Amino acid sequence: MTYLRRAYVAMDTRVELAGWRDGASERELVQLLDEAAGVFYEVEAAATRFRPDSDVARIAAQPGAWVRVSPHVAYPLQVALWLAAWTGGRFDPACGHRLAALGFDTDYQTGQRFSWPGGSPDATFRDVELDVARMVVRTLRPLLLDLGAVAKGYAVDLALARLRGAKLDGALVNAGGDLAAFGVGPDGGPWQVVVAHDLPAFSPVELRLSAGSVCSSGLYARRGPNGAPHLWHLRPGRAQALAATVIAPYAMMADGLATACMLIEPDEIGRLCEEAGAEAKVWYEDGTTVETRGWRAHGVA
Amino acid sequence: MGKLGRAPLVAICTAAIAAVYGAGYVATEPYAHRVSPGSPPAAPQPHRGEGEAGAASAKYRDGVYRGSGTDQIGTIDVEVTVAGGRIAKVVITRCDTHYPQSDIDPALPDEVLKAQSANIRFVSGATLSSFAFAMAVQQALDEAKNPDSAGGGA
Repeated sequence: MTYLRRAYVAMDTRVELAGWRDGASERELVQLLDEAAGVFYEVEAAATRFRPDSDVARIAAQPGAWVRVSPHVAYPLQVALWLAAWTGGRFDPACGHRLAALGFDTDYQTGQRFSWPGGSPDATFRDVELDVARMVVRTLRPLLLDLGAVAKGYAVDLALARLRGAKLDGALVNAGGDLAAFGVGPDGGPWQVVVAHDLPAFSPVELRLSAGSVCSSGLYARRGPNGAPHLWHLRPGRAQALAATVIAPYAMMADGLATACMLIEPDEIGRLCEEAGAEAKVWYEDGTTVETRGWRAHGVA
Repeated sequence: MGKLGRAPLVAICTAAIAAVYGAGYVATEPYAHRVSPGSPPAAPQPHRGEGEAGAASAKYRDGVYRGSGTDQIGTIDVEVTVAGGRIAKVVITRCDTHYPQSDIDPALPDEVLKAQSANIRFVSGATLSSFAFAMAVQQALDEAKNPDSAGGGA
């Protein structure tokens, strides 16, 4: 049995791929993992809002026009628009220019800054039209999309699909805490995943995963230069959600849902996850937590 | 789009992965190299040089470049592969950090000790954006910069 675990830097995070197959050579596995990791750079090139040559930047540059886009933008956008519609815009991919204005405007690869001062201050997801059949996008008002809450999960799913296609016995892809797996781990049992949030007195939760995805989102993780959190539309005057973890069949779902669950009311989480086909747990600043009914079926501790 | 009549989220994801994987996007070249049959109804947009991979004007020269970065959690070394003028791979070659952040978690050092099982646990948690790897990648890319390129953005 040959088992390999390799780490990369992509999409402003640490990406780890692990996989194994009986009878494979190490060299073969290195090649398979490297090829699968290539997906992250393809998705990043199309979906980043930090580079002027990405699809997202081209859409911003042509408000009102149908812009042909990569599937790597169209599909994550489709999921983001689904979540935006469900949450009535509390989750909203049309917020890139606002995030850039908060200081989230620097490409981690080059250090160059890219903002979009021409973005309409009140643009929302309702100003975004997507035709998946033709792979075209049109914005009704000038705006910069942010696919950050979905694109990473989408890349995880694609990389994993590629490893599945390579007939590995098991593989796991982890992009900065957003992960998905198939098959069994190298010891023949389910993959062991620990949910660890950087919160006071947080007890790590252990999960066993043989297929599907676990993604996490946390308010503690990314802050702008002025200390502003990376989430748009926080819940003013209510107990703030600090972190969320979602278990779902796909990482592109779990990734977006983890963010969405932090933006909706605690009593909506069960309904959203039931409708989506996911389980979730959310941690609030007042020390309370909310979890869906099926969450504990996955948790060990 | 209203709530009624929307496709289930799982169906959207299944279709997306099947379409992209089935279409060979994952295994072949980026879409920009493809000829699109039905073009969008709007005026044709200029393709500002995308897909001109490997051309003399590419921002980065093909090759493998190394960089190193340090921040408050430690040092990481990376190896950046540029192919066709684009970043094709950034492998972490050394990681003297408590990275990912969760490694700092008291639960995990024990993990290393009792790791007779090859199935070391993976961690799901929101990760900090690390200055160390941004610095390492930028350093490698400085090496890779093509002097013939206009430099900077598109």
